[in-house]
Amino acid sequence: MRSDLFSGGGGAVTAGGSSSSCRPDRLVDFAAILVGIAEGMSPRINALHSAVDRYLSSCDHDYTVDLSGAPVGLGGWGIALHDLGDWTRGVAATFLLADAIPLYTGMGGVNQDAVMTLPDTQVIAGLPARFASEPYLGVASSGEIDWAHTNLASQWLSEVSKGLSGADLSNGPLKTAGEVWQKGLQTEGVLTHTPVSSLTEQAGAFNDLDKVLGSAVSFAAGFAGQWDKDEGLPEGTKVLQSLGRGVTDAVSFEGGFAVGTALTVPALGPAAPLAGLALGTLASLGAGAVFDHLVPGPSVAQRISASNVTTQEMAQTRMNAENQASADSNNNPARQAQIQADAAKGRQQLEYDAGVAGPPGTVPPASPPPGS
Amino acid sequence: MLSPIGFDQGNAAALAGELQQAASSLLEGVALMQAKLAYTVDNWGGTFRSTFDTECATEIASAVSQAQLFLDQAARVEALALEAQAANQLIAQQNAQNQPTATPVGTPTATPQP
Repeated sequence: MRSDLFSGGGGAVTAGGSSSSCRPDRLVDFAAILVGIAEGMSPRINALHSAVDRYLSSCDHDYTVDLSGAPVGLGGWGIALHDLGDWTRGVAATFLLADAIPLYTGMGGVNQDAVMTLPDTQVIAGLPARFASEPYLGVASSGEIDWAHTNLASQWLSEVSKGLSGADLSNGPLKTAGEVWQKGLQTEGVLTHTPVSSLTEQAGAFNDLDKVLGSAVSFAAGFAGQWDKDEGLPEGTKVLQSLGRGVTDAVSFEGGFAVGTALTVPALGPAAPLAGLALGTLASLGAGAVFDHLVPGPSVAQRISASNVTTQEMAQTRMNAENQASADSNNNPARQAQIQADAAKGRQQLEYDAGVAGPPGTVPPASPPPGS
Repeated sequence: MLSPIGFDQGNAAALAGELQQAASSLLEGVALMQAKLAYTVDNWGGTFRSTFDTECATEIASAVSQAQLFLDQAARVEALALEAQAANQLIAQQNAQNQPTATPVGTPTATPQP
């Protein structure tokens, strides 16, 4: 048994100055988690370093992203986390050491996991030497955070998905969100199983969680369901039908965004490089990431790539699907207007990205009157 | 003849994968921290607690922002890889079109009429 010598309330001020209270065993555990996370980053940093080197040395400069700082960024975070772990363990150690002598001599000692209190001066004196000049790590006291009711990562997630339009999707942020959604959903226990038949039901459950994700999962469900139904048909037919079904379902998803607008391809004519743009658009979407996560087998992009469907066919399919979704929403004029507006906006953005139209929102120059 | 663009699709895909993995590791780390924070700080009071909270919030924000950056970069790598692929397809098409038509063996060559 440890003594109650050090027990007391948190943050009490003693006659000799401020004091601190904590449950030191919990701090030791948390410090181990921080150090573990930091050390677990090492192999990841090395792998990233090698991958960046190989990429930069084997790919044309005009088609590469400058990533030389990426491993450094990851490494820097690991070091900072390790330091915080060391400091946390140092704080806990002063409490445990103060309790060690009475515990050892049989003169008492407090229960494991008990709250202990020490004067701050004693905690500072017990910290590892490297923290002597900055025992509070140079941080100005700014109060405490209620961690039980604070989830910074979730807050960020909701920021990411807030206010995204179909046009935004083509710029890639949903790829970011898509990966993170998977994590969030796994954490929430939403994606407990992934048979295609259950995807539609799961999409419905996302109303409150994330509307964009609901649309993405609707796309995955529609595409995968149609794909299975069309077993035995030629690949090109399967791709177009599945794409059409996925887009219709995504656009029709109640409360969702017009993901379908950007999910497929712009109707931009036969220019061959646009096929790359089309697939890039698709691949950059969170819907693609969600699909790949949920549905076994090749990714959507791979399925399209393996078929002989043309850009124009996919564009036509997309427009048909949008029209279908719009017609389906006949009894909901507001929803219909939203679908049509999002579709137009997405198309404008894609045309702008491809360099065949002005920035979204600009009015095309008026045609000269006949006979002028 | 146009030269194809030098681009190793495998290395680009591997890098995109590594960036996504790095982002996942960061977010897993954040999730681990989040899961334990409330339990850890229970009954912790005083200036050290304030330091700890501020530092943890900073590390979490930094990890999430770094993860976002990695995922954005992965998407850019993938998009540029597809652009390189499309450009090479276009180059191959143009080279094929510009190839002079071979004369079948045995075809008599037209003799200019006087």
